[in-house]
Amino acid sequence: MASLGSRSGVVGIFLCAAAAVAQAQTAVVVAAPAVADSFGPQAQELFVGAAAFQHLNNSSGYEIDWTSDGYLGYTDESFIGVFVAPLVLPVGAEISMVCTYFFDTASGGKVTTWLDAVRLGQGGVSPGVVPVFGPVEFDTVFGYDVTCSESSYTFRNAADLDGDGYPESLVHRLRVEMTETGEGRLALGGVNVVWRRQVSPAPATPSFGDVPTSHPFFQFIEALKASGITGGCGNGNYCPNQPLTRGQMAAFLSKALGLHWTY
Amino acid sequence: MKPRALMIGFAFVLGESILEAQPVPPTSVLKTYGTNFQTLHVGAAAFHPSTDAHDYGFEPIYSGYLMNGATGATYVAPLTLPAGAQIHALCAYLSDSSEENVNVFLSKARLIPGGFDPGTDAVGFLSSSWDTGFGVVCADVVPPYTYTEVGDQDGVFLAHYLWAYLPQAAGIGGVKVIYRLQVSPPPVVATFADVPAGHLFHPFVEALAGSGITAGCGSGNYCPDQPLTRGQMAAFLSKALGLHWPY
Repeated sequence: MASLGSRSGVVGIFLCAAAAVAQAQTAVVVAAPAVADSFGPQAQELFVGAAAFQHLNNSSGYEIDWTSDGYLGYTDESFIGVFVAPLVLPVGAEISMVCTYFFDTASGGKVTTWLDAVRLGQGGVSPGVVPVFGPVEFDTVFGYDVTCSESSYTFRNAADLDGDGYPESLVHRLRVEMTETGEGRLALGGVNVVWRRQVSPAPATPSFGDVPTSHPFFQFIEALKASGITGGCGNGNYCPNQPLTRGQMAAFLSKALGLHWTY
Repeated sequence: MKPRALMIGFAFVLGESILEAQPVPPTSVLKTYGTNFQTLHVGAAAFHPSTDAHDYGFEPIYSGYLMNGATGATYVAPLTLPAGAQIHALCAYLSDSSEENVNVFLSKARLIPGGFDPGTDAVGFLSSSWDTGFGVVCADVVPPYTYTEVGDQDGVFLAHYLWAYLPQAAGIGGVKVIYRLQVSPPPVVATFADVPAGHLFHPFVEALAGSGITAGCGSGNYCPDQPLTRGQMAAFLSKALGLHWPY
């Protein structure tokens, strides 16, 4: 699923990340939440680079090697480290594959990757971590490598993960544990998330009189309505077979995308 | 334009989630596009300590929250939204076991060239109000804040951050930023002769022109009443969305 072309893209991202780290040596490094906002229902990729990760327990002794490869790893040999990075995808994004890039100067290390849905506590609901992908473990050998594993998780901001009938608010994080028992240096390059957009499932009750549930465009017209992009053509109808004018097209597109702010 | 009605509707939704502590119902599908309300969830893992002196960790399995250590400290996460996104409310998911409140700010930092002092303005604020346990605090941003990255002075860039002050042993699970996209206000001078100011579709046609999606139909016109062909539709969509790069 991951295209062959992704490798060149990854190199470019590493260069950028290395430059950013170089400039930020004296300041507090703040990783931007990874936000993917590309279009269309085909598979696309979000690369969450090493600079987006921080240590789970804020221990010291690790660094991003910005002079050579941009990988995040320990300066000492033999360690166990867990790193987390925030992940934000559009609601309804289906994650099809997660790939972890790493580097081991020897062999005998282990890289384990999770995608955690973090259930937020409210109203008597206790918070908790629910892995929705992984653990995917990989025993390393010498060199740069990548391990990929398939997923079918649909990204949501709320879901009923504990089955009590009430969905809980969620945040997501990538979690990578690196264990080096040998003499090598094990480092993390980043995690590539392959995902695709989905049009939301149609509701049970139609919004427009002339677009019943059996209409071929029912799902899509309901999606536009629910997003505030259309209110129909009046009288509770959508007029699905009426030709579109260029003026109407302008209204659809600019409302869909929140156009056009010059700053 | 019905901002009042929208805000009342929104307050109702928020009130429901705060007062009755009911989560979002399953029928509520959160949107990424369109002018309806949507939510960005900024998770704990996006927060970093704002100074080098810090004592914190992420709960690995139990809660996933960022838990602060022995003394009060401030954590910060960057916030990026589409220009023109109107922020209506913030909700912070917190763990508080102290007498002190947890405070969360949305701020804009001014980045000013030419020797002027930069500064930070809070544009949104909320504070915990319970003693112990996990909970959520929501606050309206009043008036709603329209996210932009350029301030009203020439050359002033704005960087946006979420700040969380956590007293001893307090934690944060994440912050919800509730916003909606807006179509930009139209310019005073119309771009196309046949879509003057006041035309039904004037703001929308100007938004497309301003974004480079259309240059009109020739001779300084846009032809708003002309039917759209499937071919034109393909051009509009692929230019609007920057389609399609395979990697």
